[in-house]
Amino acid sequence: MAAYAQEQLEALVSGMYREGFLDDQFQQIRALDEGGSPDFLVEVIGLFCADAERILNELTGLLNQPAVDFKKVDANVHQLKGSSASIGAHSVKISCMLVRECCDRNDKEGCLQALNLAKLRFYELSKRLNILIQLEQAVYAYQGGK
Amino acid sequence: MEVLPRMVNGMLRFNIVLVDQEAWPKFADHWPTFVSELAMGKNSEIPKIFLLANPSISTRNVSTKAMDHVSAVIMKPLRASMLLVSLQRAMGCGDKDNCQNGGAPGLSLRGLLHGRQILVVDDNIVNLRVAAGALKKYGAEVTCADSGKKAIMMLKPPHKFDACFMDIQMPEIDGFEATRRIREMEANINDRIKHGEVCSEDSGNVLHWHVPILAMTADVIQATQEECLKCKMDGYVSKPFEGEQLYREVARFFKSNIKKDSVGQPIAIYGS
Repeated sequence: MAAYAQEQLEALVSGMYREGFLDDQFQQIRALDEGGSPDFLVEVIGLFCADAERILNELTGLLNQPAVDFKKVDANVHQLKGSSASIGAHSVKISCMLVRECCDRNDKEGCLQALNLAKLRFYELSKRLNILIQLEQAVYAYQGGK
Repeated sequence: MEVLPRMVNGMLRFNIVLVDQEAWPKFADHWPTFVSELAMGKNSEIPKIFLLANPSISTRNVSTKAMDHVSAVIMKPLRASMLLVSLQRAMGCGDKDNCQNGGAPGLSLRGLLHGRQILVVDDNIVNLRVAAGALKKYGAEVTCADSGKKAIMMLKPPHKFDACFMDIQMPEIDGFEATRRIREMEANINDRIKHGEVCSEDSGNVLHWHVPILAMTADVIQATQEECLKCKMDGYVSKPFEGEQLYREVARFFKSNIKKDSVGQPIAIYGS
């Protein structure tokens, strides 16, 4: 069972790299866990997902105002870009950069389009991250962790 | 060149000498004589020489006879990890763990950061957690603050911190402003210590307060660098951390434990 879960986990992770969801920084985060326990990874992914969801909602609200406060939009995107970079969420980070570019031009339509892309990529990513967490925990449990 | 005679008479002892290629011709003329003088003296180890070469100048131009003494040629610009690998190779790996793990920057970072009190400041909780996790991995004792305001409060002397990693872009008080205010507080207390208004025991037995502050920044542009220096930050690192760069920056103000473990003794650097 342990080998099977491990295999699934590695297949999932390498698929996520291939599809551009993750970059090398994610591997760095995984390496920060001690003794095979995925606690740190689980904590950081949890923080990231909650933070990203909050910011994406905030951005939706800001960009649906008749007069968009681009400064606020930029500050929020900066935040999301930072946390994506920190955990290696490559595709989300790239779409944040797109939002920022449109923001620099005060391009509301462009921002909305880029924001939709960011949301799509985030939801795809978070689905996979949830499975990844479950597999990591399963592997650890099989190895006699808990 | 004034250093060589002092090494012979035992006033100065080095295990390692780094010579800049441009200074090499002069150095190479003196070196063979120097080595024979050293060999006659008692218990003097002949130092290892590393030639710091410029990639654009071929080392073939260097007189080959003197090259016999060179342990390794290291290309400039000097990169911490390359330097470490060359040093370890030439000195023989003194520390077994070092060799086994092979991860030069990782291990030396551990040497530098182990047991250090580090304050990490970032308003982004994900970044904060990740930066703290990485520093803890290297053995540092990490404290977190999520605003510039808190950082200022925590870095008011006397405090226990050996260094601070500070995000630049934060709401209200950004990293630059926070650093400026911290430096003001430090200048103030240093002045009072100097004039005997505060005895150093009351300020934690420190005579001069200056906590190394490194900016953490996602995009390093020239303007950021200049701004960092202007508000008296000590350097900057990229965010997320990149091992080699982190090592290079941290090594500037922390004495490495690794020196004691495997490389040993002071290093002389010759430049032209």
